[in-house]
Amino acid sequence: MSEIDPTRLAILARGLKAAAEEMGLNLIRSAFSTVVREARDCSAAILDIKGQVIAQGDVIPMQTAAMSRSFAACMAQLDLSKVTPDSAILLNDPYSGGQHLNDIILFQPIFLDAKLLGWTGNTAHHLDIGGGTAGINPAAVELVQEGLIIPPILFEVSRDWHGGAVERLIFANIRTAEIGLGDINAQFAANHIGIERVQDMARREGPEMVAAAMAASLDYSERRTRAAIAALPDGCWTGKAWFDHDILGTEPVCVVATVTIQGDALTVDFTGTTPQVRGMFNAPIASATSATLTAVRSILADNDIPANDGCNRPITLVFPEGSVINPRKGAPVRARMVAALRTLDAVHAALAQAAPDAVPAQGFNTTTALYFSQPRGDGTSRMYCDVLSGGFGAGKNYDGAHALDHILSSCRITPVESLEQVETYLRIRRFAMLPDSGGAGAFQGGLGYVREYEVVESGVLLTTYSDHFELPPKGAGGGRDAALGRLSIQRGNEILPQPAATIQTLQKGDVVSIFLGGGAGWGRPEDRDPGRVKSDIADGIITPDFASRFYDVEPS
Amino acid sequence: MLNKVGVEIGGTFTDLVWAKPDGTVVTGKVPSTPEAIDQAVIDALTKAEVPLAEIAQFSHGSTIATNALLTRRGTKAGLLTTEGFRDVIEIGTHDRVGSIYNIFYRKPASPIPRRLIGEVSERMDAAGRVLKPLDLDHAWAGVERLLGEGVDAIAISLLHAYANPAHEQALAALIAERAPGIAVYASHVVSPEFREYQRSMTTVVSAFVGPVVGRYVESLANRLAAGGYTGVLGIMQSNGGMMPASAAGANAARMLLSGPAAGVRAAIWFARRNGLKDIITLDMGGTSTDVAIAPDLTPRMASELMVDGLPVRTPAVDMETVGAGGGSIAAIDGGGFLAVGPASAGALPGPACYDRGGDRPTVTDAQVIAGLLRPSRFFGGQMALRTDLAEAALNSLDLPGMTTAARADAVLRTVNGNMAAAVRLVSTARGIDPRGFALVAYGGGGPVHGALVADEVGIRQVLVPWSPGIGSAFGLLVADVVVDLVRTNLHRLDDRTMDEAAVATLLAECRQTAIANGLGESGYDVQLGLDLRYAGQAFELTIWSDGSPVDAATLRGRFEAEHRARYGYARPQLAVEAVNYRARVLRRNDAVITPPRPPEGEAKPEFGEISLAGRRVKAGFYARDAIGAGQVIAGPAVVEEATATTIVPDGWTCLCLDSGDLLLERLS
Repeated sequence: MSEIDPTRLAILARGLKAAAEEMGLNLIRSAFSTVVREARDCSAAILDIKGQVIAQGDVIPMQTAAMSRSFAACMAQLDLSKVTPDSAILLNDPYSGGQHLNDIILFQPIFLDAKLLGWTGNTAHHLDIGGGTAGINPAAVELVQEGLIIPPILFEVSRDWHGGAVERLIFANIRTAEIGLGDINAQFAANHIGIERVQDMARREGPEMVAAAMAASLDYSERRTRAAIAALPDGCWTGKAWFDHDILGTEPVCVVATVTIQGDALTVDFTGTTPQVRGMFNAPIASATSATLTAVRSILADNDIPANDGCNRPITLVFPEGSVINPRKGAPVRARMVAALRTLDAVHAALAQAAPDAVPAQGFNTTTALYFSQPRGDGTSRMYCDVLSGGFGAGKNYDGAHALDHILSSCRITPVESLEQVETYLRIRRFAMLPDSGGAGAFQGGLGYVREYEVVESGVLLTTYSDHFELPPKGAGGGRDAALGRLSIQRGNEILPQPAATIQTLQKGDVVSIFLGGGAGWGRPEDRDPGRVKSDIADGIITPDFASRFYDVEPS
Repeated sequence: MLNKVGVEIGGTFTDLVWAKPDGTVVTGKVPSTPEAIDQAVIDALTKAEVPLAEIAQFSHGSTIATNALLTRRGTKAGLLTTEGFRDVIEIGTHDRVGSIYNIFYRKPASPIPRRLIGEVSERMDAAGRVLKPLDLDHAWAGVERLLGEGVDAIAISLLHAYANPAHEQALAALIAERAPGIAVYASHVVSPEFREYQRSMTTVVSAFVGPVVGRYVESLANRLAAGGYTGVLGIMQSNGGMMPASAAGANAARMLLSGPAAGVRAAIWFARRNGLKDIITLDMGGTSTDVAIAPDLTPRMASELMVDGLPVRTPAVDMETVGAGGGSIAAIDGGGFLAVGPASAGALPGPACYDRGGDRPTVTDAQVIAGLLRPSRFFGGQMALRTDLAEAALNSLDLPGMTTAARADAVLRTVNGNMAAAVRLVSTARGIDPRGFALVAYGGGGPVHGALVADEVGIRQVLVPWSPGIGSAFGLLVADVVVDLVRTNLHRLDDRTMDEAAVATLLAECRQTAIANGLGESGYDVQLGLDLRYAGQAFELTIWSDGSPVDAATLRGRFEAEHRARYGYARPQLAVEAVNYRARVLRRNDAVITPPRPPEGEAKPEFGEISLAGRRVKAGFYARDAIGAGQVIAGPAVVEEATATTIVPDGWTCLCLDSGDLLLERLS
């Protein structure tokens, strides 16, 4: 093509983005598990014929980098030359570009007549993926103990799904097969939406124009990202962040990020990061990559850039092999969110030196996963999962948001009334913000919250992971640290404190209380506007005691 | 025949439409008066010399509720919740809406601050059984605390109150007895559906804006009565139907976004009188464009609105809004793409060509440069536009090597692309092929872009109604009275779900509602709806029926057809759950209104040059009021009238129908 009309390309690029958004929304609205339909732990994308992500539905930042990495693994491991419209690829292997085994990725080709136009793909977090324990297997020291591993497999939908070999094999290994099958059918349907939209566009505009719009989308996001990076000062800075410890260890685990900015390009080198751990707290490279890209993007002045592989072109990443954020094949990764979040925090700690006003203090920045499961006695289980977070870190002219999912994710909370209708063995006793849990500062960290579950039937198993039970979110610029998280079980008159990652068989009448911490403060507490202190006391965000400890207010 | 009047208050102008006993219609336009919002109504009536004593029906649409919410200038209201759940509205959904990469994310400000939220000791379970009885003494202490803070309204939202409202009722009775001046809004009345955040927020918003709306409506009713009006003041709702003024204070949340809904109602009326069946509406104003779909002239409804980030559960015409209005600003974004909107120059400073101080290039400026709007004819010649300022504004865009005309063209194509995306969202994204639909284009800018947007999505017919600039006000004249009801009752779908007994219960409730809303005991229709989902899903699809009993297999069949259309699949092996019952009580509007007929003879064009899709072409300019019935105008052409301009592109014709409405059709 000689002359491509830039206005047309821009319109088509927006059309591709809209199609990916529509895929994501459809997946959420027609899914069955609370993890997908309420927590929205999923993502959807359109890829070009080379497997580059062209457009992505903005659902969960954590999935930003997953799709193209997984597709690269598919291309390396599979012969894609004989793909037909009936083909599909499934995978969940963290060592083939996946995140953790629960995230099942489904790719399908987009054909118009006999011509391949690209691919649609989506990821959904599945409630159960087999493995040693319903929910989370805290004892795992090998990936295979965490569940069924699906390497990239190419199959024919009409033959191998809908009761075919692939479907039957997978769901024979899953405790909540009915829900899982519902979700994966929603995944197929979401891909079909993307296929139809791209086909429509190709019929209207011609396949060459669609290919040109795909290339233009990548270039466009690259230009925007470069422009935003160029606005940051040049230099080299190192930042660190820690999590409490691996479930099978006792020492803090440190992620070290050295960020170099040169013009419109940025490099992050994680040399110095703690080696991989024995238990499930490793993060595979796709998770660490997403975390790093999100860390950079979240502090750019222009952070609405459409996410695609073009955004990643100006950014070079170095992950030392065998580290906690690039473990060797076979290591368990179930709780990968924690190391991924410290990756984000370490990058922010480095960038805060470059642009202090653009980077907030550390938020609670932790995924807390709580699984309640109850075996039915026939090899299947009832299972419920909450994905919780905490308070946001404060920043310049910004009090941290209260009780909000962290920046790598954006999970909704399941309504108490929906939960109690369906999960009749659980009852929520309290769901409330925790006063004083945010760090003091000129700008105050957001509050964490508490959620209390009363177990009203016997035979329920609790499995969890979390962090910041020992090392609090750190304040910045004189701002104070935030409150820690904690977990306890009340049994009769006894309170049984629990570690962040635990497995417990509950008794009828037990009350499980998870306390999520707040975000840290930014700037010196003595610089806080006294009017805000008074207003926060009136609203019960802080107690008078907290105010007198940090803000030096006169007792009234 | 009777006198009927509709007055619609918009952000900038207040429009009046008066249907006289002889069927003729008078229209009027006055500036809105934000400082004393009902003054504009009186101004419009005075200017048009409406004899209030002779008016049989006065219908009104107003932005009062929306403005009170957007500016957070409602009443001082408190909230009572179940012990342990004080923070339901502050925690909200726990996710980030809008930019998910924003690490300085701010939640939408709650209309009720945390200090005015109290807890009461009580608890129901999901089946509506009492787990802990309501402690009235404890509750009264909480009420007294709120009264001490000076609230004049109290929202009550207790867990599972949709399943058993006894505790909310007892609490409301207590307040009514001991603090009779306080307006009480209980969630089981305002929004009797499950999901505590949405129900609580809907109740909170109602309590926050309800007293403001109540006072406003009462004051307006009094002023109209003082002027001699003796009928019922009808108030427009977001569902496209009217309610009596007496119901407005208690149901203020129903008024949010009523203006666009009234426009859709008008579009349906015009489509019906011209024999069109399936329509998509395109309503382009100064800051945005609203798009809705009405297959078989029935608008698709949504059960929840987002207003300023807050979920409000109220039946509303399902609409997509894009920041594509006449004042939408064009800019080059960080990646070098031309983007138009959502930022808008609004009415002030307005487009650069208005010469009111605006210097950013807008859609209107591009229309002027493309020759679609003739500077001397704009707004019936009452407002001269400055081409030189439009040119300077477009030339300020960083697009090296592009002529001004090419820039204008790029802006127009971009905004057409944005509108086309909205059309796809209400059609293809909901499993509907738009190509068999007619586009009804109205609002000041709709007829400029209608055919161009139609071209983008493969639509072949565009209807431009009579006087398209006053669509919402016209909708007030022709709207039905509609009251929507909803009740949560979660159970497995079976033959009893919609059997005779279930239908009888619903009809009895409708009858009460009809009486409460002044519809009397008969003279209304009822539609019954059921929200269904597969067991395990969290989102429901609503299936409507006409009020006769339906068996489970039929309901299931309809649900699965809808599920397949919407999500691309159905799963016959799964159980289906009924979640909510819905009912609509409806009294049809029997208005016979005859907007002016077209004249005899044919309009003669003046010729000028316009740019369309990158080409400079000669076009005929026609005065709309001179076009005769049956006249066919071949594109490219421009049809001008006081408040709107219709563009007929190359490859399209424009037929003046006997009704006086214009039907644009694609030739091939």
